[in-house]
Amino acid sequence: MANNKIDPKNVSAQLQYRARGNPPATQPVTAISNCFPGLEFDFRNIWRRIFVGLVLHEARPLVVDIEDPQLEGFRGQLLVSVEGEDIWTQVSGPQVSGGPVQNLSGSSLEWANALASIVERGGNEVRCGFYDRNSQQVTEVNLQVRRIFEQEGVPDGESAVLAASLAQPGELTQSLCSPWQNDYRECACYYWAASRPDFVNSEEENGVTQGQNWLHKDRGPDTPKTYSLRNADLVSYEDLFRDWEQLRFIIRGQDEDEPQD
Amino acid sequence: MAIARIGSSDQPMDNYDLQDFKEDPTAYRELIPAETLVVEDGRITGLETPSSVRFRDGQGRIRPVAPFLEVWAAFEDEGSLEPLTAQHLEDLGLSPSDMRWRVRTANLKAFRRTGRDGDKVEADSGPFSDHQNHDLRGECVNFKDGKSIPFGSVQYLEPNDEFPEIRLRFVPGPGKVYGPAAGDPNTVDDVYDASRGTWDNHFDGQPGTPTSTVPGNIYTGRFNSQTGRYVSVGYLDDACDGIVEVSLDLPAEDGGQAETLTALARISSGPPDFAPDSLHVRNLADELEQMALGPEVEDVEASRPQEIVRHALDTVRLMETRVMNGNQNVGGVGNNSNNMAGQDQGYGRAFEPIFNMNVDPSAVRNFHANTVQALADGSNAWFLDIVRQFREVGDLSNAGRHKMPAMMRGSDGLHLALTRRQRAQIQASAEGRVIRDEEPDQPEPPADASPEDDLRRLIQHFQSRAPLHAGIPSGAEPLSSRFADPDQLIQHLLNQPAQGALSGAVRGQPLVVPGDPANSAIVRILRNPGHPMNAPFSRPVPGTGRTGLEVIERWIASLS
Repeated sequence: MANNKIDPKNVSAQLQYRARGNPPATQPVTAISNCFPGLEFDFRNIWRRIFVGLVLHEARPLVVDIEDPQLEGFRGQLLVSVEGEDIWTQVSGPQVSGGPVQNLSGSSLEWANALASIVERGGNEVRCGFYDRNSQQVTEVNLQVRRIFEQEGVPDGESAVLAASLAQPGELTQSLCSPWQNDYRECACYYWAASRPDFVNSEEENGVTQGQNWLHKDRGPDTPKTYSLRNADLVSYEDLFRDWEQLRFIIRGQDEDEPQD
Repeated sequence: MAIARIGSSDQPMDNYDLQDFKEDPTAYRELIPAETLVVEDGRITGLETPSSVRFRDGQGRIRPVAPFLEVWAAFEDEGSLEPLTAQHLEDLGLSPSDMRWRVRTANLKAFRRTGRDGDKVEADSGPFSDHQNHDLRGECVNFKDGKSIPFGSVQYLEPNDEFPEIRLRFVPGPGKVYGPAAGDPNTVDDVYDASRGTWDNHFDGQPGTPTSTVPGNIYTGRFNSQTGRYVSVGYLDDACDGIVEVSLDLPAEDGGQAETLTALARISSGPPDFAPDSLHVRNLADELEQMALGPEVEDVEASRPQEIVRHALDTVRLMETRVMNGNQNVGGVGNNSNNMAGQDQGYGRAFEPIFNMNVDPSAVRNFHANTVQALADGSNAWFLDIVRQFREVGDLSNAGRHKMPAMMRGSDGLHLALTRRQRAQIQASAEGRVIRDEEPDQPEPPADASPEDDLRRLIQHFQSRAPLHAGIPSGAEPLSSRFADPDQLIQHLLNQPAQGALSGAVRGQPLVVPGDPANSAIVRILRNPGHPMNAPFSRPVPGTGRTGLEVIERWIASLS
């Protein structure tokens, strides 16, 4: 790997490059990106400064700060469209089981997909619509899109480094849990089962699968293969604060049997 | 970008590789010990490949993942990037000591909630060019005098003849918890000064503080039943993220001006990856790829849809899918609603399980494994219609919640969608815009295979499509449940009429008219170019030498 060369225009190769000696766990492919709020990063933060002159909330299309005084009037307004595309969606579903599908409420879309169409427009202006909740009016304005990847010092290509202007040190993790253990119990596997496992040591017999909750404490080979959500069976937050390293690595779906010295 | 992972051991994690099994694309990846750089006294002294992959040291402490960062450079216009070495520097009349490093990291979690600059915990190595270990000491205006949080350390490794590259190593913090009170058994140090700052008394929604995070209240706190507030107890951790900067002054050349070259990298530290042989269905690499290349694709490598579904398989293998589906009477608790079925109630949607079918974890795994296998066997993606589009995340109808990835939560709190680029890659596969190195080998069909033998192979081949038939009744069961037993599915074909929204003009007619393929509804459905099974049934079924439609027609013709 040490003698590799990469075409500076090949951003994919730069993104996928694994430095010599680094285990896979150092690479982005091992980090989750459905961030609510995330584990390694709350990567929603990378979009807060995507438009030059204002700062957005990491999760909602709300203007929370202004960096260009000329845009001061947009403070507190809601971004509703970019280049004519809504960044909100309707939430709909049945209010009673088996009932008709009804409009329930509205919700903003996640930044990563809502703004994907403008990622290649760095340095150019796009048309943005903002909604003022007081006047209930939408105002459109052209805003410059920041480049996502650093270009300084890369005259003939693009780097794979996220631009310093998008996030200062600490900002990519600022909206994560504090400490990280907080919510680690409740954030069940509908987020990140591939690195924060949920169902382990499972066995299937006659079409029925039994296994254990990853957080099942003090388990051993004789612990019944019964998935439990009972607090008494699971590690507590105090356990996680004081001794989170009791959590087990899971290899091939099973508790890792650590070799001893 | 390099991710470090916390651990209290003083022995950083060795290197390893994740190896796929070509013989079985659904098998767990193997962790293979790999060439590990040995660091001693500020330099790399050799390479070692350990005998096994060990995530803990002899005392059971977790070994931190401590990444190396290399400096790359191009030496001519439009030249390639390559690792910068001591020899390169010497050729320029420079030396490794001319490299200037600076590392700034921070933990802004308290600041993000309180909005007070005094709650920023920041570490700055300052400029350095030596090969000493530089602690990243997280300091904060609102800490008690002399207190700090260790974010780990960085070290510029001295290049030598065997390892001449210019590189730095980041070793993260041990993963401890800090707070305001001395003697708190949950914390290792009382760093926060409650007389200066408000973090230990913060509550989301507090007037004068920034708009809350989403989700909110994700700090350790206590619920005050009198005020209805969830109040922080002031805990902090030693995770952080930051920027590594390295610069080099080039001397003036041929009467030109001196120039300073600069390179940046991002680092972070977070919790360990506790399932290191598994990858997320939507991971940061997917995110970065879309940010770099956009949401659309013209074509796709044949292996890419397989990779995406493989990551979904990795994920569901570690999920208790009955719990995630919202089934009740599981896990020994009276109410199971910590799942998407429960989260949907927040929008006013009725609580009910997401799928009204067998969601035993093995059944769900088999569905994904069969899909991976079919893609590995050369099928293009046939499942585009059930892959959620990014604008469909708020569709909480039954059909909307059945889309993939199912039972998982996205960054907006709604049902998870893949990146638009991931879905575009699946769409390209579905539409045949596929780049293949070579056509997959098709096994020779047995010479004496009967029509029913071939039909059974076809049923096996299409096992992974079972969930697409969850909405079609088959007696007391959904048709999807019949796919696991070929006999049951054959009986369905023989005894049931065409049903379901896509059966169109032949709805209600017999699926099979023995001896008469042309008048059998199943054949007319499969011949319809608008039906989603038309394309999959136009391709050969492995081991039969016939297309799916030919297998069906031959079997019906053989019936009397």
